[in-house]
Amino acid sequence: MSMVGTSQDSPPPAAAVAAPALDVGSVEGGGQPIRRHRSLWGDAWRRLIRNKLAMCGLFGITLLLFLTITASWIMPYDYDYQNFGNIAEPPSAEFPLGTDLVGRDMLSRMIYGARVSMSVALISQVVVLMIAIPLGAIAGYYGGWTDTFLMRIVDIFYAIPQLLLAILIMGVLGRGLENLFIAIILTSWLTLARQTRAQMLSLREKDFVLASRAIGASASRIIIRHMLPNALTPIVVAVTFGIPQIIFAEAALSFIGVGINPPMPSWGQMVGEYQQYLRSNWHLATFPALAIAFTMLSFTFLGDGLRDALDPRTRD
Amino acid sequence: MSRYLAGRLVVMIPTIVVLSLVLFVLMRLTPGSPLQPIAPNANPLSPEAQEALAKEWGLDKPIIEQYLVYVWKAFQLDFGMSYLYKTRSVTEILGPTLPVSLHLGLMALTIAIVVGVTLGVLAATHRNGGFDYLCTFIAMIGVSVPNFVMAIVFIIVFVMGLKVIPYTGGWESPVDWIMPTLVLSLAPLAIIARYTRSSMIEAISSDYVRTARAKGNSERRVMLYHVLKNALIPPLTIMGPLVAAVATGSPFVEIIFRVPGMGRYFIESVLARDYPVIMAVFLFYGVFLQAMNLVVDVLYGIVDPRIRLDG
Repeated sequence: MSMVGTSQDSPPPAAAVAAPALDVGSVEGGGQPIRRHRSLWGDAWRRLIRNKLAMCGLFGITLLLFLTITASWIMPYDYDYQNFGNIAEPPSAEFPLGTDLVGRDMLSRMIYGARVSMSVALISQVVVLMIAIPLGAIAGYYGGWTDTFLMRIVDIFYAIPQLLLAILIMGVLGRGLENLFIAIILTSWLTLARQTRAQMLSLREKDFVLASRAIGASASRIIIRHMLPNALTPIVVAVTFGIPQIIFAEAALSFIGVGINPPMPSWGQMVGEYQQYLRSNWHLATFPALAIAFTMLSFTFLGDGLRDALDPRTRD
Repeated sequence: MSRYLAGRLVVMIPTIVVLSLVLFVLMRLTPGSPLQPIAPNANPLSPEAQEALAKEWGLDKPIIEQYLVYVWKAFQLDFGMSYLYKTRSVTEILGPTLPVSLHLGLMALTIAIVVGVTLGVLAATHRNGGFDYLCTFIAMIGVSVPNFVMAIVFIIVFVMGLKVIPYTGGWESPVDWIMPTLVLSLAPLAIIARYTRSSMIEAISSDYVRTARAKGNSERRVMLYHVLKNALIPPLTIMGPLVAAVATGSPFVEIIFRVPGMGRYFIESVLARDYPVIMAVFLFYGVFLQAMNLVVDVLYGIVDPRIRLDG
């Protein structure tokens, strides 16, 4: 949502729209020359809202964002308030999702869990963007030893599963929100940096880059004004798929017990702690599990829709 | 081919060396000493006792020497003693858990390949039909829903709801194998089905298939001898990382279903900062992943004669 929204509100730099939009226009408007000018993002948006699954995903994400922002006002109880008279109760009118083993209202904990998941994911993703895009762009544009060095680091990181590495970092640093950011950011910038680099490598050889270089544009200008806008589409898609990856990582780390610090609620932590009580208290692990599934699916639906909308050629 | 293999090894070995070095240094630099008892409220060890322990574990030597000794011993599968279970060696702890994880992983992988390829092929040959929607549905769920969430859903539906599978846990009888295997197979199944489907669709619309049809071959023959043979090559590329990830089991599935596999011990050792066990597990994963990628690349060259590894 946010990605599409921002691109619509503030059109990308002129160079970004010019090349691809002309392309789309000439193909689509071939038979109807009087047709109103359509931008690349406008076209993509129109394709996106026709995609029912993507709209379901967008609705889900909007709901999650709403919960994230309003969590403190709409929670019926405090997330760590213990109702000692109502321990481990199944769902009822008073507690729609039941209470946990120490009498805390599950609905409140679930709502606050949305805030934890979403803020970890969104903040980490912004930092990842700020690290990965410049690194990938510089490596791809300049090549040489910067590129070799970056790619060797990526190779070493890729030699072990990223989640295991995150688990290790959390194990070493100890659990807590700040460390969670460190572990997640350290393990998730690689993929985006590699993708940006690949984009830059192919754009570097294009004529318009050669042309800007010929008229004496500086390297930073070429990268920022000409190359990055053209690499925006794959980056937007990568970000949409990157967010659920981070939500998954947070849930997985908290599941194991190396994520957030209780009593702060996290869906993953709830599933991990309560999975052993499924038989006696089914509601404790089930609702957080469904919430994780709902969140992951929402982002995947939107991501798939965005990919198809931004680059119709990838649709088979 | 041998030149290619040599080239790959030249890249592989430094990667693993650097990985092990980084892990080794990282673990030595982290706060928290293995020389202090981990139990809460335990009395701290006296400096003399700590010195004796450091000497016994070789922690008093310079770090480079410690590393070289470690590597030398690792080649002999001696990863030192566990810091957590002070009387047991890492090999003793991980030895019995690895076969369990491999067993679980290989069963899940078999299901994933058989069902995934079948589903992908059926989806491609019945485009926009029931199988295609089923394939897309499973691919979406399998790729995006984490396996520990799937495990909870499966327990609720199959064990508590439909009661088709009894309450289990552990790894003794084949009944215990059903749920963890099913849950673990879902993600690779989804990936394989998706790859097979798109590669099949590409093959079906290619010129040589049209030629095969034009020659009057039966649809069945065209599919089996012309399409399948070529379409199954691309999915092979993803098998390397997939085998490495799945065949080694999953900590999450192992925790939920109480499977005594390597993943569970890995988590336990991370929580207790049992560095020798952590190092051993990481080295194992690193080597295993690199080896699987190499095997798949070589296989790829054998199956597809168009690919020349010598370049």
